Amino acid sequence: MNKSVKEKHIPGETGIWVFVLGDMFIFGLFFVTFAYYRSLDIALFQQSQLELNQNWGALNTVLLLTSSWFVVIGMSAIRKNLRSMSRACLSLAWLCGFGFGVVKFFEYGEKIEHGITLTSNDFFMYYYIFTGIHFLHLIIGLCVLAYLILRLGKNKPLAEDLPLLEGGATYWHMVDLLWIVLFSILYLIK
Amino acid sequence: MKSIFLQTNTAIWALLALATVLSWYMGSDAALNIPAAMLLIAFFKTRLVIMHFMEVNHAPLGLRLVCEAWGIVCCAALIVLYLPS
Repeated sequence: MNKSVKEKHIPGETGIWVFVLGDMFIFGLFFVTFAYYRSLDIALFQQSQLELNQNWGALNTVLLLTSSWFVVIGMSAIRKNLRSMSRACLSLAWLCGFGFGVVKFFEYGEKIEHGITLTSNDFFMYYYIFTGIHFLHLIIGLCVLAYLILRLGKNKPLAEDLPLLEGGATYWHMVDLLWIVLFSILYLIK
Repeated sequence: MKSIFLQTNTAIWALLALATVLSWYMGSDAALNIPAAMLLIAFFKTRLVIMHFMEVNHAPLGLRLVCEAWGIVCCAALIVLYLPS
């Protein structure tokens, strides 16, 4: 029984969880707001959704899931004191995240080329605002990952940096999980 | 080093990828595009990320409950709002 009590652990500093849970709550409101306004004009939302490329959305989901998995493997490597392996995993995670950004860049370009902007209609207003805010989170996450990769390059004891690394990992997973819901409601569900 | 890759989280990643392909397929097929089912898959995926990747399954009960509540409330609210379709 003592063992199970000892095993309880909050990854990262408590502060990061206040931020992450706050962000999840705000995105929860975004999801509900979108669904509410969709219920007022289902035909418009369904018609507009046809303009989105589900393949880009699915590719981005797989990129973020894979990125998250590399972070998980990287954290396991850190706990086993495998510094170079953890750096390699976080670098691969960064590349997958960057790939998400590149796909999004092309996707936005494609929409704008077709004259679809923030003011086109309610669906696209929510599409640009929600994916835009998520994109901002992604850029912050890429900066955090880059900082962690640099930090792992220094010869400091890994145990000292563990809460910082866990906090960064937690933030990155949140970016992933918010996209899972955005992908479903914006791209898939009719 | 190999053992690091051979962990439960690698199976979780495969399951998440599989669920993504499934919902992608359901999204492209009019007969299978059932909002409630697809929302349940989406929040099942978020739960896997929260519990396994974010390690909340090893966190104190309070944090686990808040995370579970987030998923249940969001998913239930969306299912209700998608009912008219």
